[in-house]
Amino acid sequence: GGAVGAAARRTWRGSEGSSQQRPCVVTPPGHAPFRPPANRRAGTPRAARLSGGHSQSPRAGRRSGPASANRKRHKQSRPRPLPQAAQSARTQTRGAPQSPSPEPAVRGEGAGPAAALASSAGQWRGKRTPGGHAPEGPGANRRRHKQAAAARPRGGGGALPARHAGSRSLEALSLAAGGTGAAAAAAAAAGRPQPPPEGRRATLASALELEGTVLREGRLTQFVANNLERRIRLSGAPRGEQPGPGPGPGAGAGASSIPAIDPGALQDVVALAGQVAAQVDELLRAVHCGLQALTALSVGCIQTYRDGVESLGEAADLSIRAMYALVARCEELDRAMQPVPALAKRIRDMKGTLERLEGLCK
Amino acid sequence: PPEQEMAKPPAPLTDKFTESMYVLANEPSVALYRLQEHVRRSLPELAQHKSDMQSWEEQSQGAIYTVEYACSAIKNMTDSSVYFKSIDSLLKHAIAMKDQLNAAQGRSTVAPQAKNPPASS
Repeated sequence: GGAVGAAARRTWRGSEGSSQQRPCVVTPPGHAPFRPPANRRAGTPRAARLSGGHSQSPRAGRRSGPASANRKRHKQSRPRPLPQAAQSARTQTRGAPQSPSPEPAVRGEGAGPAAALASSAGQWRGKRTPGGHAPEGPGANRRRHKQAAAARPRGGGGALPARHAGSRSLEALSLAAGGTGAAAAAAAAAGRPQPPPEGRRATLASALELEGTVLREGRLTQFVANNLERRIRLSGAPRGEQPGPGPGPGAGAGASSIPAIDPGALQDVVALAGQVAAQVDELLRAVHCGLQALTALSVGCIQTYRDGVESLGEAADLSIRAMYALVARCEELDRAMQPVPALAKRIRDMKGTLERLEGLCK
Repeated sequence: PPEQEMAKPPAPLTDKFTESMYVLANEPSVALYRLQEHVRRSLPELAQHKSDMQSWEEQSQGAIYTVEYACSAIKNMTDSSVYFKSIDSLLKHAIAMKDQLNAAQGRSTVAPQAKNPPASS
């Protein structure tokens, strides 16, 4: 179920390209045994477990040769559940050698989702085969895994996949699953979408690479899903079904589940998303203006407070100065008071003398 | 299920966005409100204290002038001690003269007329 979700979440690039591819990819899965891929994508942890090694091989589907080989694989994958494991193994093995050859050539180019879809559809079947840890062609398995492992470090450590990195995913699947037609059949029959038990480390990017092309342009990540319509169909199918029961019944159930995608709805979604973005912009602008007004007002308030405090400090300073001045004056007065009693005594004496004189004169 | 997975992402996104909008709009507003609340509550007290200080300073200035005036008065008083000294000496002189006069007058009671006019003049 994660496939559809992932496709809906990421921005598509070149929808026209993917749309072109979708029809041609959808047709092969008319025998839709590719439920395993949908199940594999169901969860990121599962996808992570999916073995990043498989995601390494670039989608070489662009070449006509690999395309034909992929178509052959598609046909082979159909009868996988049937006891034609041997034949499928042989065909897979035959097809597998072709994939490595175009692989290096294609890896250099940014493989678009276009032709990769055709190969991817076929790869998925083969991808599950290693998961089935089948005892068939162990040598073939090891070869595929080695190629996938080799492809992985060459691809540039899956952390930041370049344009070409996205094309690695499904090719590696086919490589890894190449000679394990029997294993694939067994796994398909078991109907378990378990990722390969090798437990290769795969980042989210690598997991996404399995489902489409991942483009990183600076901070913008673009993802083009392959087999979008088919995944939608698969996701729409009832979940109770065991993944990969058989190409026939699964295909029939999935094909009739959903109608065709409505482009008008997509346009509406785009327009509405633009409106939402504009409104969010306005909201942020209004909040910004409001906060600016609030802070300006608060600045005025705090400046008033600061002025009040400063004037209070000044008043306190003046009052303390006055206090000290008063103390100084008082001290000066006290010093000036010292000769006064002597003076008073002299005045008293003079007054006595004057009274004596008055008495004399009378 | 893909439908559930597809429905899940948009809801958490809007929730996170609204939560960040709440935080963005509320925290500064609450902080500024607390600031202005504190200012509003403490400014009147500060103004009261400031007026108190000003009144005390006025009183102090008055007291200073009073003390200054008193001090100048005392200084003048001490300056006047010279005059009191002269007054005192003059008084003593006057007393001495009066004594002499009285003594002369007493002596001249036997023959006072001859001495009195010259003593009185």
